[in-house]
Amino acid sequence: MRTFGDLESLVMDRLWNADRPATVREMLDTLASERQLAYTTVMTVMDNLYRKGWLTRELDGKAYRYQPVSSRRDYSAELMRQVLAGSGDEVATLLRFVDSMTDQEASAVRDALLDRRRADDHDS
Amino acid sequence: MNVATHVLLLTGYAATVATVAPHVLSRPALSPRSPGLALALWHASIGSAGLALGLAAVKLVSAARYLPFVRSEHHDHGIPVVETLAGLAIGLVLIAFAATRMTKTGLRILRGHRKTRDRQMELLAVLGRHDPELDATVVPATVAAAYCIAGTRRIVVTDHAIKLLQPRQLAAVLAHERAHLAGRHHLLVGWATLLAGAFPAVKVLDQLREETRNLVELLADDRARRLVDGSSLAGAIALLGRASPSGTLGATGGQALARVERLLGPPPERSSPALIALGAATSILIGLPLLLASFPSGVLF
Repeated sequence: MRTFGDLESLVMDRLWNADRPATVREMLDTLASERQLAYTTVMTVMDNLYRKGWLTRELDGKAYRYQPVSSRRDYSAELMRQVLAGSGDEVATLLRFVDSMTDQEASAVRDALLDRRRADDHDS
Repeated sequence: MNVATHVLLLTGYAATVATVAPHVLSRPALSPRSPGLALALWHASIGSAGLALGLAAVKLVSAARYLPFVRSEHHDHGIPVVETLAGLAIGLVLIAFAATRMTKTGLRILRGHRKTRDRQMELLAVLGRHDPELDATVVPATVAAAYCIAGTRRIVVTDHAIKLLQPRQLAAVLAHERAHLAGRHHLLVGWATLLAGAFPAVKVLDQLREETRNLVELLADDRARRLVDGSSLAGAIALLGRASPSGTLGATGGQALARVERLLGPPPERSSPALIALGAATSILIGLPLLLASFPSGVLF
């Protein structure tokens, strides 16, 4: 069973893939092939996403048409900007595995690994 | 011994420890070989110096009880009234200054931390998908990266990183990040950051912060190395640390190379003499200021 947060992610995924605005009814139909969901559930999820600033909506006849505020790529870029800025930041909230190296350091690391591999090959 | 001597002794001790400790602790023989020991000694030394300064300030304030209008029977205690009042003022100002600075900086750090953490969780809720096999969140990104979010149990890997790394390398990366979370390394880094931010004029605190950041990486490396192996971890550093297209952000300043060379060398030994030495050194560092403050009467205040 998916949680509510998973549904938000699912709806966003479908909207990004569809690349055009959708009503709650249309989203319900899109999801119908894999999930049996109540109309009100999908409506609540899309309304939540609108409130949180992920979706915009426009009245089309009697129903709202929802569409993502930004592309998946844009949000992913924002996520990564936070990660890359982390080490220069005063607050160490994101502990990154390794910071970006300069070209010089990267080649020194490569050399160290190559030397080691050569030594291992020589031994065996 | 009178108050002035105590204060001089304590501040002299603090200055000596703050000057000598960095020299001793930055020796290359210590930190790469036993990062846990180095980390504990760094924090014990700085804590000891801080404790000595705190005791000195309290001494100045507590001398006020000898003032004639506080306790009349101590009329002829021999401490001049004007000096005592000046000491009281200095002590109070120092304590208030330190408390204000630390509170302000602490709140600023906490606010920044919450903001980043909440936005990360918000973005990950929609962008990410939990991979039960890796026990990590996978997000689509053009950058190959792995990180954990302090104060949560969340480890994040980009899909690009998964493509780039071999399974053992990925396992080593995840073990490294898990070690950060399990060891609550962010609390140590946060504490050092708080001190360095609250007292920017004290250069040794900058050093404490840098060393703490560096040493927790080595600690996490050691743990990952025991669980997976050193050369997989070294290979992962080479792949994930490659110059990113975004430019010079977050340059490691040689730390990545030092980590790789260390991982390719023999594994550090976990020796019990080192632990005994650690216990002794820590006790001495914490005990000395208290001893100095209560010498020779045995009474602290």
